Amino acid sequence: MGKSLFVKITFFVLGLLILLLLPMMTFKNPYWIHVLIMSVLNIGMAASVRLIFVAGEISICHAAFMGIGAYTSALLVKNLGLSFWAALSVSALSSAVIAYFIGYITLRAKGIYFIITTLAFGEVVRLIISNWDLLGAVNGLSDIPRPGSILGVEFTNHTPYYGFVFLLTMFTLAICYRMEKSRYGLILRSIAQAPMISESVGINIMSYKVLAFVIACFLAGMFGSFYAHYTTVLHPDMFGLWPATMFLIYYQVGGVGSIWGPIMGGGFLTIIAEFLRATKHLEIVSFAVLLIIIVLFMPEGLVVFPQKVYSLLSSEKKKGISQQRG
Amino acid sequence: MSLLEVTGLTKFFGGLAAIYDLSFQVKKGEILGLIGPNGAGKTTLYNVITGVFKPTRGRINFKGENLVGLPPYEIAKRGIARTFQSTVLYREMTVLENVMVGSHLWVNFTFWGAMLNSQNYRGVNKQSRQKALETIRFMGLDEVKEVKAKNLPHGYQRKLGVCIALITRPELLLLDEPITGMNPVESAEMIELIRRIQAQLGITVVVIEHNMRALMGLSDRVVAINYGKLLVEGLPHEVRQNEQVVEAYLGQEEGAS
Repeated sequence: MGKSLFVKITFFVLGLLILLLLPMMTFKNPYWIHVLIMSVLNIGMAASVRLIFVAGEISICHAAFMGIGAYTSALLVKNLGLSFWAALSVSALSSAVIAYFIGYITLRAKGIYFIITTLAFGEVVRLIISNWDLLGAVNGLSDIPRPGSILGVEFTNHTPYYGFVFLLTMFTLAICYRMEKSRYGLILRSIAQAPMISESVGINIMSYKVLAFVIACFLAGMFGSFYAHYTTVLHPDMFGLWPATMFLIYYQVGGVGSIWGPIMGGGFLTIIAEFLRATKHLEIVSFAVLLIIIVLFMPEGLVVFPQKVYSLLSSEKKKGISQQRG
Repeated sequence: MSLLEVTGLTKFFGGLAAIYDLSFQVKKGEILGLIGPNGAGKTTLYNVITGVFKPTRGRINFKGENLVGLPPYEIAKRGIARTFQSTVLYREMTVLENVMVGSHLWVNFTFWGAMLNSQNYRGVNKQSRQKALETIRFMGLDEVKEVKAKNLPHGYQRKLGVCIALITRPELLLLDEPITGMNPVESAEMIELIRRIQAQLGITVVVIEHNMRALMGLSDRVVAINYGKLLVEGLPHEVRQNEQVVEAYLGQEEGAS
């Protein structure tokens, strides 16, 4: 109990620090604001894809659904002149509708077979984007308009984007948290552990799995829309297998046990990856080595990192005390 | 009055008939024993009744409604619950959580109620929890209600399986080897519990069991099957003395040696 409280306080303090550091960085270095924006976005994406994991499945087409949201939003605003604020919800919904049909078909497969179908779907989406002239094909889309001002906030520099993505991620975390803590979470976990019993007590397994999938993809589409109007350029490779795998890595390495997993994984790995750029051409290798080290020493995930530090410190203290006594 | 009526039921797996032209009835309020040697098709019969497998031919009438073709969760809705032969449980959940999943059928809540933790949702959840605790007490699992299912001793795991089935408020309960692998004390307890489920809760029970002595003492009637076909249906002592049943279990007395 005491330890978990310690962890919570640590997270709270860290969160506050990031928030407080923000205005200081605003004027000095937009690059680091960009990194923060990406880390918060990755937290949201990792938390939403983890919802599918709670139901016992792993999806590697989450980036594709983000892409569906991003391209929908970009087209609506750029070609049809819709405002970003309308396009945001429309693109999230379009992602959810496509997820409904895809989920209804693919969720009949379980385990590795579901993974393969999502892999295939993700690649299909990427290939469609790469070959469709309307979507800019392999050249991508550029000059996507920035969001219009809202409530007096102008999207002229990085700071309002950070505030906005922070709100989106908070919204995502709230939904994922409630999904997991409520009866939905109980049912999803039951389906992951023993679907035969769930079925025999009257649970329509398919509908709950599809629900989790649709909500996760709705959130992905929402982030996609944000991403499109934040970067103002889109390219099919942004939504391929690589980012989809990264979203999985964030929560798997962060810790699968709770919502803190994607928060720790998405937040820290994104920032650490930026520092690893210093290793130049060894960037990916060093990131891989880092992942291996984390998995080896913290099999429960990054979430136990504060606890490890805490117990290390307290054992040092004890050692000190015993030495004094000795 | 018959609660469940199975008529001409046949299930083929490829060319193999797991159940062939099987007909029998379960009367309302009774405990029906279902016996047969290993591979006789008893568990397959449960799986067909509860909709896990679709029968090749035949009818399954429950309270006058044909169940054939319905998915398992629809059949559960109509009042049939079951337990599983091997100890299938939500291993990573506590006993209480296990049982709370089982209350799904009569727990009504909306998506936004659950998301916003509304008063109505909290009330419903509390009710489900209370009912779960009651059922746990009924099954004598009170002291282990916060223990993860995977850490329970075997006897408790079997009881938990029954508990999950029971909280769905079924009219018909299908038990698959409820006392197999239990020590004498545990199995005596379980038999007592099955009696109470029938007598106090008014639930009709079908029991598959290999422990003949226990089953014969427990059942009002017994159905014996072999190779998916009906051998005999009748009172326990009739079935026990039936030549075909003895033969199926012990083999022919004069072997071909």
